[in-house]
Amino acid sequence: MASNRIGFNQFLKSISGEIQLILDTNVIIAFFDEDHRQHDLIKNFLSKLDNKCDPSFYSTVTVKSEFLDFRRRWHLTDGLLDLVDEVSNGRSLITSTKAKINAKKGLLTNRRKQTLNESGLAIEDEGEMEINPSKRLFLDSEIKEIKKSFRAREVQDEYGWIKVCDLYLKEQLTKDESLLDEFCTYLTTRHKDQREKIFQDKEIDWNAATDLCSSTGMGYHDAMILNIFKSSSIPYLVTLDYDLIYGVTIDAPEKTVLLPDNRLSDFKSTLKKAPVRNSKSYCAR
Amino acid sequence: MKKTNAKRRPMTEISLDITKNNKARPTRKQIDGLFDSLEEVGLTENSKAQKIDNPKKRVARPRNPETQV
Repeated sequence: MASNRIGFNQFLKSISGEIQLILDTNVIIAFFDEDHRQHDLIKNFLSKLDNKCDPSFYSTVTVKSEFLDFRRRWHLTDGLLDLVDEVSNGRSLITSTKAKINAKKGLLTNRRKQTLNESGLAIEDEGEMEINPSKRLFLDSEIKEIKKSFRAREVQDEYGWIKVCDLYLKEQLTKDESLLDEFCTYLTTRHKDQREKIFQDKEIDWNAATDLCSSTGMGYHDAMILNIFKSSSIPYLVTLDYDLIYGVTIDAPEKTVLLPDNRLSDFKSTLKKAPVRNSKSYCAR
Repeated sequence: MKKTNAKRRPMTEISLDITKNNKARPTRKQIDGLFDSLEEVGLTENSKAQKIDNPKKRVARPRNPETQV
């Protein structure tokens, strides 16, 4: 069986003309997050694609929601860490609110240290952190607790946290969305052009995602992306996620997955003898 | 089918805007405005008073000081 995994460099050497690619969440996150270890690699790959060929980038609304949730936490973490030490005309946050943020900051610092080895270098077993770099941010539960510390006693005074969001989140998240919308098209069969050309006038069978999920035990979000990838005529999927690479090998051998060259050998060793399931139609007739 | 993102800028330009957005910080005026709002709902305190509350800076005092002669 020919491998349906191609490294970025190899792909760039062979490609020209118009191409269509689906971007996974972790690729978009890495492109936006300059602290992500694969940021430079992804940024270079997407920029070089622009120079080498005529790429159209696609994704899904599920990916968009995962990405924007990551960015929500990114901006709030950044803002709250600034706010906790802020002094304005002799005023600081009240002690209880500062204590709450500082307590969560301590937990966050510990999580960030855990991602470094003894020499202070990033650990090599980076899979989890690449797929879930949000461990470097306040967790959703931590943000909720911090939010509670901004609660007012009276309903009419309930705007402290809202003002914090206004300053540290609103504009930034809106900008993120508009930048993503600029280069990414979201796949849907409701769009006439997409329905005809990308989905060959078929509806997407979303129940098939459950079959894909249960086939390899991949996360359901990944199964939804794989399902829409299989249902479409788009030939390429760009991802950093082992689960998706594995899923494409097992359940979509007719498609090609693009990944960083330095990761190719890791996947080769475990996937070269992977079984291929019988082909199944993932589009409802 | 029409190219879906024919009008988009090059990814290098989009990347520059991402960096700009990542590095954007509120101005002093905006921060002061936020603290005005937080003060209205009792979420601020005097930063000097807060320093005194810092446990590391507290000075231990006897509960029943002896009468000074």
